[in-house]
This record gives sequence, structure tokens and C-alpha cells, in this order.
Amino acid sequence: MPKESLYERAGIADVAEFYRTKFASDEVLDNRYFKALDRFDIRFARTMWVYDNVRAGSSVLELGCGAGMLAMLKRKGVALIGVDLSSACAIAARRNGYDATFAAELSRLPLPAASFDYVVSLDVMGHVEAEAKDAVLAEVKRVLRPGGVTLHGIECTDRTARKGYDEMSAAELRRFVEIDGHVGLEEEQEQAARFRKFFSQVAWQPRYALCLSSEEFLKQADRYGLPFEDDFLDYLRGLSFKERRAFDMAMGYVFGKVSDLNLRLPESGLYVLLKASDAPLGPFYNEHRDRRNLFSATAEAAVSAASTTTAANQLCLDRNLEVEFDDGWFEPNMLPPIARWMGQQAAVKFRAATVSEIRLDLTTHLPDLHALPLGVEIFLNGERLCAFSLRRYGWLELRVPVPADLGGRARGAFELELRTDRTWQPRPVAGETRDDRELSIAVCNITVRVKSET
Amino acid sequence: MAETEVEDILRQIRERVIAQQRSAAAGTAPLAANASANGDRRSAEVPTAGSSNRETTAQTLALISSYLTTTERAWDRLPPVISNRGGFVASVELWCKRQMKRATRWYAWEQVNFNAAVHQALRDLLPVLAAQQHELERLRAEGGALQTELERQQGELAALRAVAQATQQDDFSLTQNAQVITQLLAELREHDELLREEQRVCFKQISLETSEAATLEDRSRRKTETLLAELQRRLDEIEKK
Repeated sequence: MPKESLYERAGIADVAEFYRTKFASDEVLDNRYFKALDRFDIRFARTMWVYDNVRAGSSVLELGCGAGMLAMLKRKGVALIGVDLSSACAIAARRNGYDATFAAELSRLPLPAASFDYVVSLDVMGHVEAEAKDAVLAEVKRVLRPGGVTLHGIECTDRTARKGYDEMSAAELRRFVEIDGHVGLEEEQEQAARFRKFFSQVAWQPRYALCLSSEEFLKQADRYGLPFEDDFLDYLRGLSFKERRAFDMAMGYVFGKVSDLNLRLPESGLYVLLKASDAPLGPFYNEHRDRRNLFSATAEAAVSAASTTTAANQLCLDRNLEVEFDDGWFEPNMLPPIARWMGQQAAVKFRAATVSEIRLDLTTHLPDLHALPLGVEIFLNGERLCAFSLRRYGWLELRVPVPADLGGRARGAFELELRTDRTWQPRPVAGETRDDRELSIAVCNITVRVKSET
Repeated sequence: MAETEVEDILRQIRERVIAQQRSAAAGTAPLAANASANGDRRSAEVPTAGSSNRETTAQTLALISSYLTTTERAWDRLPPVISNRGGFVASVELWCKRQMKRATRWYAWEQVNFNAAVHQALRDLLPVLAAQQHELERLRAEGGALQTELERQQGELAALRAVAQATQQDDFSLTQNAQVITQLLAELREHDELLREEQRVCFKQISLETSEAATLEDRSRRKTETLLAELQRRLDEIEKK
């Protein structure tokens, strides 16, 4: 009689469906929408560790790709392939810019041997049962090219502080697994030992325990019962969206500095970053650090923008790496289409020789729009181009002509600014998401008609 | 002769009593309850309406007819001259009474004339009353028919009113349904319009992305061609060397 899996013991019959509900989302992770400042966001800290450790132009396979957290690796020109147990997650990752994705079990990868420079996983090995881990690592070793490196972010446990799976009652196990699906938590040394069975070189560092996002702190306290000071948790619960973002940025900054200084943190029993290879390993952090492509004003991006301009005599700002969206814009959402929500005021900075017309699509979900229209103003370099009242829902296509003399005075640098007369909170008392952003309108397809730079 | 008259009077009284008993049994107003032997009917009540009234009227006419037999027979008859005494006294009394009868004949004759006139009047009135009664019954029958027709029409009218009310309710429901359908249609159109707009924006975004991809592809192609040309140039240089 085959041994019952922990998923079955926890009452999870369809594991792929379980992960679809947990990790498939409409989140926009496409690298073309990535803001350079987000490299400090603790949410992207582990992604940045991978980003700084893969070679530009290499091939990367991500196991358990989810919605596509590694999509920003495309900025390094890598060939990015994803595999996930859930087909919905595979589709989401493909939508976010992965070159190819597959829905498959990690122990039976539908890929040829020795085909990747890097095999990466973040928050995956903790979801693989101990009995299945060796099969997964064998597949990792199979698909890695000789000298390839495998990079992992692995959730761990501390058996002195937390019960093992065999010690949990059925109800305790169900509660524990239902949180995130962790059925393969092992201690840090156990993880390292397992990798050593397959790779001659293994390095690991306890990370992602000291610096966590505000959401993660609360989850660890509320769901996993980790001891944090009550007043600290109360403080975190009271933070607004902007304050949470500031907290996460600070945490991410510290995380990055710990990496940059190559500081080894004490064991936490929570999480490790692990590198393994049959070839000698380079530095644990920043082995291939090159962040130039994260920023807008690179030569390559400039060429790209110029080419786009030449081709259609118009410049689309949405995904243009030369363009800078300020902090008045929130991260892009899939409405659909992919659009950026803004607060009461937001600006876009771009360069062009002259601008004759600006086009954009905008919409709002502001309640009571019929009773109280939303006032919108559009400025270019501080001069008001138009002002109107938005009285209906749905997408509005806006074409704003730009006075000829304005382009001349701008000297190629433009700042398009949108202002609205009020905002609203979409879910002011949402329980889990705590989305208390102050939103006004969503904007996409911002294009400017330009004259070619001579 | 006196015995014969007494017998007639008793017979008339019996007939009158029998007629009154019939009237009482029919549940009608008492007729001729106070009628005296001389036919006084001042207190007799006249029936008003209904089938029982029609019967009462017919009985009344029959009663009048029976009275007419009496008046026809006795309108010129005077009381007989009789005496309860006997012997000589009786002869004297009868002689006196005959003399007085002869002396008052002029007065009694007037009464006889009056009786004759009343009798003639009643006899002439009877067929008129019968005709009127007949006409009345005919009119009553017509009225009954009209009443029945009226009731039937009232029934039909009530049914029509019910139908009209139901139709009105149906009309109201139809109006309400029409309003709901109109509202749904408007919502559907609005939703459709929103979807169309969303599709337009999505297609526009795809178009822009495609344009960007084409531009990047063109740029990569040109870069590759440049690199290949450079490679070829270097190969040529190596071959020359």
C-alpha cells in the first residue's frame, strides 16, 4: 500500500488546483513595466539575488515559476523558461514575458538534458515532499549544462521550535499545509546535505528572515505563530499603502546591503539561499552583477526608443525603458488591458525632439461618477493642455494636440502630468490584501506623436 | 219566503268566510276582514306587487264577482214584512207594517235605484279591472323577463369588468416587463459598449506591442547583420594575411 502523501493527509486532492488558487494571478511582472526603484523592494530581493548571479545572455530554467517572479531577468537578455505544476501559473508566466513555459511535474521535466546554464527556484523546494526531492534534484542536474549553476531560495524549518510533520495531528497538519502548501520543510543543513548528494559545490546562506516585507511579518506571526513583539505587529497592521511600501523598500535596501557586504547572518530556521554546481562556485552574491539595464537611460534603450520612434512616427511610453514614471503611478495592473492606476497626481518624463500630439486611454472605477464627475487636467511641462470632466465609465480615448511652440521651448525633455480632483479607496477595509491605495484613474497606451530627431 | 231569504244570507256569509280563510292562508293582507254584510270594504288593503299579490288580486276580483251575484240578485229586494207575534196582534202589526211600507215606498225606491246603479257600476268595472289585471300581469311578466335579462347583462358586465381588470393588470405587468426589458437592454448595451471599448484598448495595446516587437526585431536584425559584416570583414582580412 503506497504511503499517503502529506497533501492527501492535509485534504488537498488536486495539488495543481491548490497552487493555482495560491499563486496564479493577474499580477503584471513583465520586465518592460519594471521600475528600477523596485530593485529595493523586499518583494524582489530574492529575484535581485538571482538577477545579480546569472550571466547576461544565458539560459535560465525556473522551477515552480508561478506568475513569473523572475520575468525581470529578461532585462539581462536571458532565455527564460518556466515550469509549474499548474497550467494557469504557466500561462501567467508566459504572459509576463517568459520565453516558454510548461505545466509539468518537477520530477519529470519535459526538457532535454544539459540545456540550461542556470536552474532556479524560489519558494519551491519547501513545497516538495522529502521523498520526492531527490528526484527533483536529479532532474535539475540532468537539465543543467556542464558547469551550470543551480540557485534556490528555500523555506526551512527549525525542529527545536516547530513540530515535525509526523508530530502534527491531522487538524494541525491541515491548518499548516493550507497556509502555503509547505509539505517539504527541512532544516538548513538538511537542505544543504541533500544538494551535496548531487553537486560537488554547495554554498548556502540563511537569508530572508531578518528582513521581511510587512505582509510577510504579519503572515509569519498570524499564520505560523512566529514570535514578534505585539506592538510591532500592531504598528505594521496600522500602516497605509504608502507606509507599507516605504517599509518594504527599507527592508529591501537592508537586504541588498547585507548581500553587498557579504555578511553572513546567523541561522534562522526560516529560509536559505543556496547555490550549487559541479563547477567551482563564484561569489555567493553579485557574481554577474550588471544592473545597467534596470535603468532607463541606457544606450541600448535609447536606441530602442529611437527605433520605435522612427518606425511609426510615434513613441509609446508604456513599456519604453527610456521613460520614467514617477511615484504618483502605482504598479501596472491587468484590468485588462495592462494599465497603471494613479493617485491624484502623476507624471511621466520622456525625451523627444518635438511633440505634436499626445494620445492615451483612460478609465476610472470611481463610484458615483454620474452624480459627481471626476475632473481631469493634463499638463505638458507645466502648461495645461486640456481639462475635462469624466462622466462615464469605460475607456476614453483622448487625443490632445500640443501647441507647436511648446516643443521648441522644451529642448527635448518633456514631463506629461495628469491631475484629478479626487481619489477613492477601492477596498478600504479589505482583510487580507489591505489595499488602501488612493486611486483616481487608470491610464494606458500613452503615445506621443513626434518628429524624428535629426 | 222568509226562510228562503235567511238561507241565502247564511250561504253568502259562509262564502265570505271561506274567501277570507283562503286569503289568510295565502299569507296576504287580510281582505274584507271588516267587511260587513252590506259589503263595506273600506279597511281592505290593496296588494302591491309580487306573485302572491297577483293571486290576491285575482281572489279579490273573484270576491267582487261573488258580491255581484249578491247585488244582482238582491238589488231590488226590500226587507220582508214579518211579525213574531200571533193572532190578532200579529195581523194588526203586519197590516201596519204593510201600510208603512207602502207609505215609504218612495224612499225605498231611491235606495233600490242606488243599489241598481252600484251593481251596474261594479258589473261594468269588473271586466275593466280584469283586463287591467291581465295587462298588469303581462307587464309583470315582461318586467320579470326584463329583470332576468338585466341580471344576465349585469352578470356579463361583471365578467367583462373582471376581464377588463385582468387585462389592465396584464397591461400593467406587460408595461412593467417592458420597462425591465428596456432597462436590461440599456444595461446590456452599456456593458457591450464597455466591452467594445475594452477590446479596442486591448487591441490597441497589442498593436503597439507588436509594433515595438517589430522595431526591436528590426534593430536586432540590423545589429546581427552588422556583426556578420564585421565578422566577414575580419575573415577576409585573415585570409588576405
